[in-house]
Amino acid sequence: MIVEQKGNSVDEAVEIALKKLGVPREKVKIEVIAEGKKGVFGLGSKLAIVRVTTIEEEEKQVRTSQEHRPVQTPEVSTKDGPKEPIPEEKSPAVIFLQEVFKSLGLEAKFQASITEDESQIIDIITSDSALLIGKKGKNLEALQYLTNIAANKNVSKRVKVLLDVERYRERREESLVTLAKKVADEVRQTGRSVSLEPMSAYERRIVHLALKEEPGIITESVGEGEERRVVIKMRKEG
Amino acid sequence: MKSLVEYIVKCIVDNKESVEVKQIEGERSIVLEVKVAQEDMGKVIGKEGRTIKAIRTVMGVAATKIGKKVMVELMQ
Repeated sequence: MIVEQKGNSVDEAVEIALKKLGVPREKVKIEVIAEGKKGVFGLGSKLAIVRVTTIEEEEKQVRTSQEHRPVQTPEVSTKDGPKEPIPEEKSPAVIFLQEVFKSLGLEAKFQASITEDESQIIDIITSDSALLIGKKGKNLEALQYLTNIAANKNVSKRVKVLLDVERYRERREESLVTLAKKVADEVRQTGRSVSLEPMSAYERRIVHLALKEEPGIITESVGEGEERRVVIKMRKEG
Repeated sequence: MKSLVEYIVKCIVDNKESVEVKQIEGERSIVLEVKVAQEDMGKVIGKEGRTIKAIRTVMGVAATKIGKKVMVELMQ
């Protein structure tokens, strides 16, 4: 099991992750992805992010790679003891991506993890990340859309798949929040509504959440389909 | 090119056997004619054409890799 966890500090994030996994600290491997910052009066503070991998999982992965040796036949390992985990238990999303990248002629590695709300984040490490992301993340968005369709074909429980390349998502999220706050200031100063460029549901959600607590303004999504965008306007008095 | 679009489309449709792709190669461009079962047309197009658009975008990435233009046509 791999869990990615955010928290106010590295320690806190690790603790939450351990509770989720239900294993003691000595049975996991902890990687710190972001240290997190305290900030002043809650300003400029950043959450710490850790990736916690159970040692069991690590061993499984090692075992899987050993199983690629031609000498070992699957019959041998199933005869004694409990059943070995099947090496091909990769998620359908990863299988789809591997196939697509092979055809694209792009080298890539995939690292899947589960988030707090049980969606699956697949981080793609590739030689040509600029091409993969595309203009305003267009290519990544399209690939994510198709991966979700492919991964949810013929399954009973739907899984939401998010793709990321070199933490692009995080950086985009940051710039969206900055933009939202800037526009909110502008709206408050001029009293005029401002509509942002069309965005995906995921991005609109980031903007709505970023401005939820902002005094004096409200946000609203307008338009249909591809044209749907966030409008930031003054909150009417009374 | 052909194998990629064929793979993606097969992941989307129910009737995989009916998927046919014809590749017409020009000097600077490639046209991919995709045929699927009638009942799968809607799935490949998607809501407001989102799915076919995503397929075209991903195929565009493949095209950039080889320096050509690619067109994906859905045939009736």
